[in-house]
Amino acid sequence: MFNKILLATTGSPASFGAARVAFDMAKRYDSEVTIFHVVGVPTKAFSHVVNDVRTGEEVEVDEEYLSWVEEELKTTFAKQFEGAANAKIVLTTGVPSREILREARKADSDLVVMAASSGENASFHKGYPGSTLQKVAKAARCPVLSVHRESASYWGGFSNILFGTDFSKQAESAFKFALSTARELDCDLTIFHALDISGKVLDQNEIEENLIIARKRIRETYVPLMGDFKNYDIEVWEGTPYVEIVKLAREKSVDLICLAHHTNELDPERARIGSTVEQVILRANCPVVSVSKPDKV
Amino acid sequence: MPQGKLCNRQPIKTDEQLKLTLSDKSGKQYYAEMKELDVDTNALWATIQKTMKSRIKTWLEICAHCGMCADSCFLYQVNDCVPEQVPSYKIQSTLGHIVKKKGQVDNEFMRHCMKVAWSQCTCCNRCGMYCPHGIDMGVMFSYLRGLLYSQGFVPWELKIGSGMHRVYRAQMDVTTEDWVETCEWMAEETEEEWPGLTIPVDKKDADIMYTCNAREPKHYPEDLAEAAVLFHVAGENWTVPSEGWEQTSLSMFAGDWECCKDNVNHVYDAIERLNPARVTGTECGHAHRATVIEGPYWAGREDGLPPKPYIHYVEWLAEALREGKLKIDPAKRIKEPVTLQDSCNYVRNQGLKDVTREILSYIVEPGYFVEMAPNKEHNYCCGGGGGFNGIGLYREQRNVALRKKMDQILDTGCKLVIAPCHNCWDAIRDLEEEYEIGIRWSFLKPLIIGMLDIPEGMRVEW
Repeated sequence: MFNKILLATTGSPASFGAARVAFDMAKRYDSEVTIFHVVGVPTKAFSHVVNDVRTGEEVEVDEEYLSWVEEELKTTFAKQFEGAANAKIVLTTGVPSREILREARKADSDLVVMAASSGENASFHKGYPGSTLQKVAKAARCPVLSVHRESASYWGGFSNILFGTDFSKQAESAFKFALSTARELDCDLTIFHALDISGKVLDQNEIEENLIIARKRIRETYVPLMGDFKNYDIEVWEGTPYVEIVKLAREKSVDLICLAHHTNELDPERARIGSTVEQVILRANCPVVSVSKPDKV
Repeated sequence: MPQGKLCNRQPIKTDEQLKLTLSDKSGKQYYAEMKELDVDTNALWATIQKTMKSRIKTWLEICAHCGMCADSCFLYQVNDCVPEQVPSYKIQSTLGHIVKKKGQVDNEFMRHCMKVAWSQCTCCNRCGMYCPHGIDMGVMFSYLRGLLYSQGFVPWELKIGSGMHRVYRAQMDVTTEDWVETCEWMAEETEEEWPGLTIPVDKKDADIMYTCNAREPKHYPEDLAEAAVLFHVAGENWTVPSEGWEQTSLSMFAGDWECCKDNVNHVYDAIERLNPARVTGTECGHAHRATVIEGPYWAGREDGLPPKPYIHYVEWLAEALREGKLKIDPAKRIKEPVTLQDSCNYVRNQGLKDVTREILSYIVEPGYFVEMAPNKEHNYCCGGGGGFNGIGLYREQRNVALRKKMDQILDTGCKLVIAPCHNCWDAIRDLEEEYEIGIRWSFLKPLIIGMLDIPEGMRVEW
């Protein structure tokens, strides 16, 4: 299921965690990994002058510049390239989120792996509201795996998956992905719902009733879909969803969190406040995969 | 030296020549060759005799050198009001001189003309409104550009730009396959949220045919998706042509007259082939000028009109809002000071000043729209028009030119600028990058989508 991995990277330290996971997966699951780098955002005329995504400086893209960038990437990821039989570098120019989506579609990628932020320099975001990750996660046909913090509990491979659900339509796809990954890689799967009580003062009986309802809903919604798969358990906690997801993941030493992505809000400020998946990505100790479409699950 | 390998009198006609010219970083070799390029003075004079009609002849003759045009020119204003930036001086000392000398000018003079024609005039046509005789230096500079192009004296990027049009029939290397594929991709990306949305390609007898700017499929295809969403919500029966979709004309900026005609005929062929009731283009100023205002004359159409009514996107949008095909949720209207950039190409040149303001009356909470001063047909060029944005050689001059727009925006106190024109949008983006005045800028499409009152069931929240 991870035949083709697209590692979208700026080559900056912010993306090292993502690169580590992508290469580890590629080696472990014999995947083809494409290191995809958008050199810069076109500033004028026909795309030959771009703002370099790392330095923000205006550069003219020609063969020489491209081979220099390729060398840089090879040096940056030299260690990872060792033993990765099926790795290649693809460079392009354009708006990063758009080009990642274009490449994922063209290559029919099974998984996009990327960092949550471009790191130190974000000058190319001007005029293009919303972070690259948000835009990619919203529109990609395949799951998008993101690593923000150096993944303390990621030792290589996956063995313990946490699927967080809000019972949305997208959560169905996220569940399918979590289940098939758990089956294929023989992982434990925790199905989790956090009852959102953030900022509310509720009667405890009401909370507990709702916890029971949510647990029942998980049983009715997801258990029938699991067939003979038995390595699962169900958890329902109350609290602020992203906090509870991160806490549970830490407690269970989860190595992959799987969530649905569904925010229409592309304004980075507003989306960041509103989106559980964004918050989880920023805080979790392990890779987080966000799924929004049913195509590649 | 007669003609260079890259810099010569021949237009770029093959992909090979295009790539070769493009691979010359910053046009270094190109401009070096230009210094050696012979001027074919006989051909130059013959062209002038054949193409310079009574209007330009009269204008050159009757200019009283009164200097009334000086203050009308933003480039004069931002360049310390030096006499060399007075429009009448600029044109008299270039085109006027060539005509006086009956084309007997040398290489150095032609290079000087190139500099004036592409870095001291954006063909915004504002001076024409202030000249007591109605002399339009912008029109004359467009003509001069044509003469310079025919002799090979054209900035590197614009030589390539018109070459792109000749080779790809688009200002960028977007092939027919790329374009159709992009339409499919955008429909695929959008249809989940907007069930039933399609981007119909080559549908005959539609009510509206849509044309765009190659930058959109190349770099910002979501603009096409946004157009599709708005047509879908408005319930329009629309289509895009597989060929003839590119509405822009860098050849117009370059002065490549032959290519201008070819571009516009390509679009008109699509209109004839698909027979739509009407055509509308994207939020682009020069594309409209090229296809709707000047194009019919290039194509030799006697009625001076495109084959079918061809409206600017803002006209379609205003109509859709006026007729209630698109409804704005009053709660979502813009509630912050916002200003509007009037595009020279369809406001000063076609008078669409009230249309954009009508749109704003629907989408901005009363009291929040702040006009720039001056505005409407008196507004200043964004600073990057006429190809100025794209020319590396004159980047420094272009950045100075942006100062006028910067001052105008700062004076409004607005942090949001609506710019329904690609060139203006680019210039304002560059302005922010260069001077960091803390503004945001937007086309109309994304703003409108964000504030639509959408009929139930039309959009799937996800």
